[in-house]
Amino acid sequence: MARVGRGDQAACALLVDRHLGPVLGFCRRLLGNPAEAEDAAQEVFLRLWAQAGRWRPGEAKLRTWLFRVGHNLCIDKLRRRPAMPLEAAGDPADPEPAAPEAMIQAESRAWLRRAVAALPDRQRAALELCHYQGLSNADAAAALGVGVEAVESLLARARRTLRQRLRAEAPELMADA
Amino acid sequence: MTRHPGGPSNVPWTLDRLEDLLDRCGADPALWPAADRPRALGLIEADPAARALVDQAARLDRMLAGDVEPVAVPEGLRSRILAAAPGPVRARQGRWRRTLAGLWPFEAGWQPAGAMVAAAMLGLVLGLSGITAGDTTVDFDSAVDSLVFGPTVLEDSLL
Repeated sequence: MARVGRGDQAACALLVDRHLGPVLGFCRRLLGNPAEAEDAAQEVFLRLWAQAGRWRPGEAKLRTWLFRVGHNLCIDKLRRRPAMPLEAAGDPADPEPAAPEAMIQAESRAWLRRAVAALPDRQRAALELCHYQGLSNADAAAALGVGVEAVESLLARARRTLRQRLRAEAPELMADA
Repeated sequence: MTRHPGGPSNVPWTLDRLEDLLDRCGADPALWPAADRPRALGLIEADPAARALVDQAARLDRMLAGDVEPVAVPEGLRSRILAAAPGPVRARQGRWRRTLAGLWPFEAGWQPAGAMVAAAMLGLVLGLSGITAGDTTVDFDSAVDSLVFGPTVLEDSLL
């Protein structure tokens, strides 16, 4: 970050290459809209550039800071737009599943993404950070601006909802286990 | 995990408690709190409904784990972000420094400033020494006053 603060272009590129993908993926899953997610991810890095000269080592983990800013931006965007039907959340196109096993996987993935998209925003964010981005509960708590117990509670409620929906709506996927 | 859903060790486990444990920690017994593990495993062994709950949780774990895939970053997005990245420090100086740089577009501004100060000091010293050596009718203080304030001080002496 010190090099970024001094305007080292190579350091900026390294940082973008390392963190843009996860931040973009996080925003995509929270927003369900690729264009909005790109805007949010870009804004995260613009804020980082503005902050870079004043960055104090050890004050915050960079990765956690990026997710925190991304989360706040996504929540703002979600609050500003009208409620979206679940189907409109959109599933990324799956690469032509030919074999039955691949079809089941694609079906399973599509169901999961719809179900996750329907979770309350904070539960979805906690699930995204811990399951998909691999953050510890403590880092996820810092990114969401809540305590560790709150993150555990969000995760537990998210998992329970998904498990109950899976049992009720997609028993064939459950049988696949 | 900071809470143990199992509660006191003498309370028998129920399906609700197992469900809570699975929601908080997932289906892998290795991730369960050590204090809860024996009783949870005991319930699972004894009750088919408990085994079904664990199967559901394990299925969900696998689905979540299998949905992780790398995100393709559009090149245009990367370029836009890097185009806005901070440049070298000199390019981000404040207005005062930019103005100075416009007046003196060379590497170090202290050099001309130092030369101006040195010239002023030399002129002052030479000027003062010339007055005291050449004019014995004017005392030193008056000479300094005349240098600083001009002829107004000398006007008094003419009255």
